[in-house]
Amino acid sequence: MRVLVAEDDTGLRNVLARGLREQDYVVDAVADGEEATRYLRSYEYELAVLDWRMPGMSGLDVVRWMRRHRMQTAVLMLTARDAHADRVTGLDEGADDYLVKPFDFAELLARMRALQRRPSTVQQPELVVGDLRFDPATRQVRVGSQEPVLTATEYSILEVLVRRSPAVVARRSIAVQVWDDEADAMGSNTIDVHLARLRSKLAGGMVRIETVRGVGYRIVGQ
Amino acid sequence: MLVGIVYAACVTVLDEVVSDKLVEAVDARLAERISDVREADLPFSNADDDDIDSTPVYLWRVTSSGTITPSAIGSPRLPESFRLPVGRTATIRLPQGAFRFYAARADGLSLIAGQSLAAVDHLTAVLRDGEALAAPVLLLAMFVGALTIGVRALSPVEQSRRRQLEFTADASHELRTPLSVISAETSIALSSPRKPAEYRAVLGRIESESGRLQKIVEDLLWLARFDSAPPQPGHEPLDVATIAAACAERFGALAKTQHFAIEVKIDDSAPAWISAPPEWIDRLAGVLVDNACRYAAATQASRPARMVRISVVPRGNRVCLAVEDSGPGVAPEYQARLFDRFHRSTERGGSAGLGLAIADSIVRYTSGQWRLGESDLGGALFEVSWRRAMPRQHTSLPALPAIRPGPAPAAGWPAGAADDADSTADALASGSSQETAT
Repeated sequence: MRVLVAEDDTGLRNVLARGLREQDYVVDAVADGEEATRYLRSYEYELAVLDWRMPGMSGLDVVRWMRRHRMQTAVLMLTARDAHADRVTGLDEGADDYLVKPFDFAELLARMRALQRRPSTVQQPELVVGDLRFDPATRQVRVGSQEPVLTATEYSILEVLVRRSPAVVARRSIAVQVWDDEADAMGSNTIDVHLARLRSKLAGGMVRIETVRGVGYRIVGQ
Repeated sequence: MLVGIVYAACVTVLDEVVSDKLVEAVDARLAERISDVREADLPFSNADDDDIDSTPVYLWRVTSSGTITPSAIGSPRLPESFRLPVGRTATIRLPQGAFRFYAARADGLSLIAGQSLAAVDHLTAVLRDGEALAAPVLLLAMFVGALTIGVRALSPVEQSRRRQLEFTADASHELRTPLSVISAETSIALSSPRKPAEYRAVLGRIESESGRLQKIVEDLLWLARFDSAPPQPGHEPLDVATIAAACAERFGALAKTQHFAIEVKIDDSAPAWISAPPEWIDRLAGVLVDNACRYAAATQASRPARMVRISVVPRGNRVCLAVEDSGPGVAPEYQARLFDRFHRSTERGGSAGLGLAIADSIVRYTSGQWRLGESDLGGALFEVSWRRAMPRQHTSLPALPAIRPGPAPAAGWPAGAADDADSTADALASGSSQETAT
């Protein structure tokens, strides 16, 4: 999944990007609010992790901007401001969650996963489609009784489809969420190649990746 | 509003207490009068009564059948139904006004003593009048009091206290980011097995973040000590030029690695002496030059020079220390906020804004003045000026003669100056007389 990280402190920005990439997130890391809005305009993000205090446009300004533009991207605010009034302001202005520094990195990951849950699956941490069970916390994928071994890319594609299931996911969305340089992915047949492999790994289960011509792909249970 | 309610409540209580006390006094008086009665004296007249408030005490005798007969001249008639057991008091309203009665036995007689409460009523009325008058006065007094408190809230003491609170809040914030980095680095590093080179890299980053933390903590402690210790008056005069030169030397190595130049310009047309502790001024210069170096290292390629200039310039009766850089400068809209704790107008790659907060403290406590501007080098100009201080008697300077011995030596002059002046004046006098002689 593609996430935007906006943090003006270089050391923190780098470690966040590194840690998230290791968790197979596609990360765009920016150092100020203006750049954040530029990126938000150009790409779609599953989630944005914004530092409150930044020079120029603050994280709060960015959230306001996002809500004004009706962006559905979930926002997790990082900040050293722990006064309750600040938390209320942050959440009221449109942030979906709020983490006070210093924070536990594992907690950040868990909160991000929580934010990524679509409303229909808010109760179960594990996502289920047909007999496919997808656990984002442990990154375990089970189809029936099998546990197919997926590459990072296959896993990412599957995640995008499963999270939005049964909705159709546009090809471009898959490209943006899974690849750093989505233009590269769009321009070649790499998406098709990975999808084909994924389909074969899921074969035999009560789940199918459907192609919806001209629109995109979706994963449904059978 | 609340004041009004409180006032009214207090006044009511006061009235109660006062009238209770007055009535008590009346009761005591009545009791005393009864105890003095001898049957032989009755009926008596109040004519020779020289009591304080000169309210006559009347007496009545209670017969065994319960009939009450006046036993003093002028005693008002009591109502038919009036009864008062021995030892009790009562207040009855008679046509003449309110009366207070006390029944007691004396000399074998059952007596009732009574007096008008007109005086008491009068007193309480006066009190109420006073209270009514006092109310606006009190309100005014409270208003003025509140104003004074309000004004004091903005007094320098309160301002400094508020500044300190804000500072502590911002300081704790500033510490959180390096802590977050260290926490995240360790967490990620430990989440799966790594190659030794990766561990080394992580440890290196942790090392630099903890170095950052250390510096912030040191600065905070310095500021905390600084704010709590009272500023010491009357320092050894200090030559700012030496501070500037020392500072330039300290940053020389950095300038070389970062490929910018440090220039020191001392205008020695007048001595650059000020009255301040050397460590403080050195620290101030250090902060300004440190900032300037960071900006100079970020000078745009289009500029002719990558430079930091430290100048010491006398201007009238003031000494100015200025630090300029060739960096991007400070936009006018940020200049006002510059000394806001931890304000960063551009990405500074990890430097906390504490430096300017420290610098500002030093400037304030040494009675210096800031001047911010644009440098001809292209970047910012930070200047601090102080009143020039007179140096101590330098061996190379001639002893300045005083025409008259002064009342007390000014700060900075040695304690024996007055005596010296005396002897010098005598010497001059004798000298001049010698001259006139020839």
